[in-house]
Amino acid sequence: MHSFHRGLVFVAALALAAPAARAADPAQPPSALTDMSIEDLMGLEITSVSKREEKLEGAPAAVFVITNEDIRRSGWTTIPDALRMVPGLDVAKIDGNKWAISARGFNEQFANKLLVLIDGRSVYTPLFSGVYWDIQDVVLEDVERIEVIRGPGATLWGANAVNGVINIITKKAKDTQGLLASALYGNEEEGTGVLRYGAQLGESTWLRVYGKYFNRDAQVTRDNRKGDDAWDQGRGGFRMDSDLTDSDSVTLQGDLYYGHSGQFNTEISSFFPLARNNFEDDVEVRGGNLLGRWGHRFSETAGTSLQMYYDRTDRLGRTIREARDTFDLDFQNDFALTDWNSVTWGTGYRVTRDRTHGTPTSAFLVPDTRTGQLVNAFLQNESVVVKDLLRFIVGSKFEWNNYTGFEIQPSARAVLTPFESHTFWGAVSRAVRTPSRADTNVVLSLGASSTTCPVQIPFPPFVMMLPCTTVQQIDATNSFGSEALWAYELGWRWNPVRSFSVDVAAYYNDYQNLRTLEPVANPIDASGFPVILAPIVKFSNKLDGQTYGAELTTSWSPIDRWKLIGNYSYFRANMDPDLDSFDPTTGPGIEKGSPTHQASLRSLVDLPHGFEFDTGVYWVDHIEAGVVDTDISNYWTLNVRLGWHVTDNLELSVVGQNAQEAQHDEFGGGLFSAGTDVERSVFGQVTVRY
Amino acid sequence: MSRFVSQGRARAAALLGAALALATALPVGAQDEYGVKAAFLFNFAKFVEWPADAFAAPDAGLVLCVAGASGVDAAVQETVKGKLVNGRPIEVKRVAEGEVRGCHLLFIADGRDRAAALMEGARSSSVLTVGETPGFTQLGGVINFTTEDSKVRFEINEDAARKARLKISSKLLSLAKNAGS
Repeated sequence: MHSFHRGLVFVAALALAAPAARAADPAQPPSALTDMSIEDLMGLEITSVSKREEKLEGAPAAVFVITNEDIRRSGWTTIPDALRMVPGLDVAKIDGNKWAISARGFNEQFANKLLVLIDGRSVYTPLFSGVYWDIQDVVLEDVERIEVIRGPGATLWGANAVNGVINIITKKAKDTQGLLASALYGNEEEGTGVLRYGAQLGESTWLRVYGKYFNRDAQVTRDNRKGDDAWDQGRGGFRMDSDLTDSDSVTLQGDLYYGHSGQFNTEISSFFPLARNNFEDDVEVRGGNLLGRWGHRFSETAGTSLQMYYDRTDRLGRTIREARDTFDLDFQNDFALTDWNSVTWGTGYRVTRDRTHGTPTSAFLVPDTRTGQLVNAFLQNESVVVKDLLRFIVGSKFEWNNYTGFEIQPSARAVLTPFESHTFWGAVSRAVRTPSRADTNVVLSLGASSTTCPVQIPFPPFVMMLPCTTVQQIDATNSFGSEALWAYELGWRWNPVRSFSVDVAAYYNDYQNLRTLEPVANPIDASGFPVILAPIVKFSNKLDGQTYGAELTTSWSPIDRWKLIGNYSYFRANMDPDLDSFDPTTGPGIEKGSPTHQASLRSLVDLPHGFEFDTGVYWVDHIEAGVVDTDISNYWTLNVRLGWHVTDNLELSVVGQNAQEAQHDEFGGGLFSAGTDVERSVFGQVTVRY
Repeated sequence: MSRFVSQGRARAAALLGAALALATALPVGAQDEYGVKAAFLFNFAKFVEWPADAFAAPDAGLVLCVAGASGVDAAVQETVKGKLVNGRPIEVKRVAEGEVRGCHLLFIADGRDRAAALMEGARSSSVLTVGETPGFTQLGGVINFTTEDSKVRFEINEDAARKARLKISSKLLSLAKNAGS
């Protein structure tokens, strides 16, 4: 929700350790493939990296794709951790089941400027415009790719895609046929099991069903005690794809999940007398979703799609409970006007209803149940202005929601390809973050203290000091407006040979009306004596600011069986409170809450006999973060993985995650939960495929 | 592992040598898509007979044209470099519309919007057109790549092959997904 920061300690050091792993044998050139018979070639599994690269080469945005191979060989076991491989993303693990993830700054537990989708279903919660990462899980082996676009994706994806869009795409049922069984066990990973089976149902219909269960150990507190943040979850689901005709395809998919995400709470249980309660909160999470999509291609250059989904999430903690139902309908159509001009347009409707239950002394929502409606439409035109040289993409998203009314988010992008293997792109876009439920409706106790208050006695007339409690409280306000951004971006991609590529993106973001905490007109309310509400503050929009930075990713294969991927990102923020703002902490909090530098280097080596040796080093600069201001020093972590394809059907691996240090801190605490340190994790995995 | 129980050093050594050779010859893990498709193109060229007037001489080169994204032709070149097809060297060329006349094999990579125009150019010559988009064979393409379960498959349009005066060996036809027009 809101971050408090004070003080400043600045240390910056870049420590990169490149793992030295060389293949023992000289690498086999790809021409070994021509020695194989057609039958053998038909048995090889392929990755469409080149195809994707071609589509991405011309994309006028800062796109990064995490492939299935990237995830498999990274040593990470969750989606949030896998996002560490993306330049420009801040990924900080708060406790055993919570992450603070954002793009291009503004990172906090309830980071609200990132849109996240799984197979087209939006998984951000309108409660605080952020993501509950502990319930976003898929069978990682069946992930096709994760596309991350830093920068406003407003035109196609709409409000809240302010700083970026993450699109997690699972494989089609056609590509996940047969049996997959996987078991994982280690010191922190106390057991993960996956079972998936795919079958062909008809000539052009495929189905897969899966079950997954995991149990993860709690992490440790800063002072080395065992935390209460264990995490367990079971889920199951299916996906069915059908090519009804040559030009029609239908998809139906759904999931159900149930589990617990533990945390250590400190809450105020009573105002007077002031009492606090420390307890382990085993938050129960459960929910499910069902999504259907129909796509139709009229011709090579025209198509349409219709998507509908229902999503239910229940989150039952001791402090706050929330149940949410969401229904969404989206229609999209694209067609070519001429052979150098094409149009994409669409419209959608979403309704979301929540029922919440809070705690009067900690946090609750007013009203406790609310229905939000959202109507959107977008229009985009792509033109080839000069053949093989210059392309323009101009578009806008139009939204109406029942919080702030009408919002317009235009965007203009250009792609320049003057030389072979170089792509230059630029973009100017406007993006908007509409208020969340919490922004407008939350009543939250920020802190309380036992003290004495002067009370006037009328007879005999004198002043008595009586014990009382003062509570600083955020009061619900319906006057919080949208935050706005004008983003200016530039990028360059260079892919001279297949074994080497560079991708650079730079941006300058101009924000207006960012959220601050301001005192209300009469900030003291003594009517509930001996409980005094002072000061009473509310969310307002009295902060402007600019951020700027750059991201670099480079990929190099020095020899055929060795691939290196390096990332670097740079971020600065200058916040500028309005003259009438009384909030001294939000601005500095944003400036210091995201690392200035981040870097990573991954090495993937294919060894003989089916062995794989994969390493990754990640370095994050220091920050001040967390609900209670905490100084987090810079850190680096190391993942090491040894994999073995024993046969075509059996894969074994041993992984050391965060291997070089017993524990390290990445973030301060969460709003209702204590932060804990990330521990060294060692585990083994067995994967069987038939 | 019991099949490797030793029955004599020489035999064990031979088996180990074969295993090693196999392990290093067979690429493991997921393969780059265009490298594998290039190997398929190489095999197609081996099992297809062009009419006599398609080549200037018995050892004239086979022209393998690639239309599509930059990088695909490089992938194909890397894979077939230095190889001979039925005694002919392979020349890999990157082409755009209108340049397809001199091609023996034309691979249209991901060319949904380009396919029709490129095929026009190939119409009256004996070009083995290969594509990788749905509906390619309906457009008159001879062979179309598909993917199933992350593995490459292909379908053949025999009518189109006949029109181009190409003779496709029965072995290739038998491996195709749905041989026929």
